[in-house]
Amino acid sequence: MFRNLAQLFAATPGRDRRDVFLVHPIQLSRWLDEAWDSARTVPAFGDPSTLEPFLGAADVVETLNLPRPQVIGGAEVAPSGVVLADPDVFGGQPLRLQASGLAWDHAAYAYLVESTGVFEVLAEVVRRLVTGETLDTLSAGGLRWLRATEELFFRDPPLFSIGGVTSSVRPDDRVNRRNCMWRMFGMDLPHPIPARWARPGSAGEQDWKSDTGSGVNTGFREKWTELLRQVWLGIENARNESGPNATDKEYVAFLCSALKDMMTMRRRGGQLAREEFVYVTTMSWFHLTLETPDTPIVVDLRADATSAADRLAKIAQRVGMQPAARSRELFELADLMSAMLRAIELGAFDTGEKAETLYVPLAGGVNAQLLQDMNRIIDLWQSATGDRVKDRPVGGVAGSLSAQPLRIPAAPPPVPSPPPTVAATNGRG
Amino acid sequence: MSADRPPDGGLPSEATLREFVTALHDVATAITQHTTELHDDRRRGDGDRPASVAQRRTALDYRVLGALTGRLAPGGVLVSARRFQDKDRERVELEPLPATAARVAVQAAGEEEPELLGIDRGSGSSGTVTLDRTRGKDIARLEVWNGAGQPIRLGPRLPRLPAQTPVD
Repeated sequence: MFRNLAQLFAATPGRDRRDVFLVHPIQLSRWLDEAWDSARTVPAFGDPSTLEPFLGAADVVETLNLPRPQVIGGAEVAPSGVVLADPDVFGGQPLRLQASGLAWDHAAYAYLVESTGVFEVLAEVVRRLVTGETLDTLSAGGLRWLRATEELFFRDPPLFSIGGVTSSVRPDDRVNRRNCMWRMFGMDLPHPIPARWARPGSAGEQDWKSDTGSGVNTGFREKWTELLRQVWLGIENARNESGPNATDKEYVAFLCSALKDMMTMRRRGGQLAREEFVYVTTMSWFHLTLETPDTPIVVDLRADATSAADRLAKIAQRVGMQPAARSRELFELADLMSAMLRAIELGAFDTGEKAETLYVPLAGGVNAQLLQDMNRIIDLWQSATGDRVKDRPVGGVAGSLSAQPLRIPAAPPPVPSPPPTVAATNGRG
Repeated sequence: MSADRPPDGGLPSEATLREFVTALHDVATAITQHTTELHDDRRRGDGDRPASVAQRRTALDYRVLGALTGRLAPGGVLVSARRFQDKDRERVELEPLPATAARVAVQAAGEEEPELLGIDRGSGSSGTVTLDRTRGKDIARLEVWNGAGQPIRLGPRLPRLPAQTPVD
């Protein structure tokens, strides 16, 4: 979400994206409630007969937002007072948007950005800066960034805010994020929780995997990779006018529907909507810090470079850490996969006709953006994960040369979970 | 264009004539409204298959998602909309409308068919539609269509207007 705010600053004459870091953290914190509320005006997507609600439930935004004034123009509950023309003042009003509301990125964005290691690297930077003098003295801008980062992401969130997704029943933000990603994608982050931040008595990955019941999308990766493989087949054959064309648009649509069903199952009744918002928001702050050239903290840490991944590598080096080897791909993939999964989740490719927009160039460049993004996703996913997307089936076994597998990819067999912890025996053994 | 003169020297078919008229209409629109956007992509001559309405809508939705998350520029896919009471009528003002905008499809929440409305052009790039069947209902989707009935812009979700407080 902070990248949306950066976009709003950049669109204001005389301002730029870095102005987000000049806004006081109390205003940023309150603005998050306004950003959540603004999703009420995100339109429904899809054909008129099958309009899909954003976030799996049409009223989840309304259910969790702040109460509106009783009368038009009445007093607002805790307005952010953010003024785009001057980030250093308090305007006393919510930040009103003229066009459609803001939509936040898909949970995949948070997963991929955190996979780069940016959160842990910058957590270490913050820790060192506030506990000792192992790093350089900060400029005024760097000091503002430090204060805002610590207050927004490394302490308990303010009471009754939309960002309050830690409590005594789920006290660890790192564990909570992994729980969300495990449920949505059946995948863990590539790095463990650093020993320094692990809670006493932690049960390792069982902290976020136990008590999820059957609500885990363990087949996500297989289905997603198969979708990319089929779309690549479509791209290869898009202008093929002679010879066999192995592309099967209905199979592509089937895979999209399977992914959609999988993700919307986790979103029933607005589940995970708030968590997704908060985790995407958190990662967008760190992403914005690195993707924008010359942010104060990057300058102070002398980490000038041409890309977010290179800046991250330089900063990590300053604090004796190493980011993910494929962080360049992960940063780029985060944006692209977020939009694609959101569209899939909203049923954008549920029929063969619509699924064709992923790989068939249509007249007038109608779907040029989709084609370009899909091709890039395939390249980046293959490079980031090592899943071979562009390979063809080979071998002399009957049926192995078919372009489509016999069955849609299924989840791997479940890992037996430990016996449930008894909450209370009430003295009866 | 497939409107070649028939080999037998006879009159062009009705379909060919219709294609001529549509093309001329596009040229006239382009001249009077200073636009280069054609209504029908089949005449672009790039050899690619024309997009169906459903495919256009899919591509538009995808770009709108990119714009709402801040990745893509909002220009070219989004319009602002303001719903207001105008005496006894309920109206929606849209801006900026492209020159090729011909109608607005208003989809009320829970209904299957959108209401198609003509645009009253205002000053500059704004335009207004008057709600009829969708009056008093939550609007889930607001599409701007070109003359060929293809969605070209998307507006925001618009909740129904608050009830008027009676004045003693």
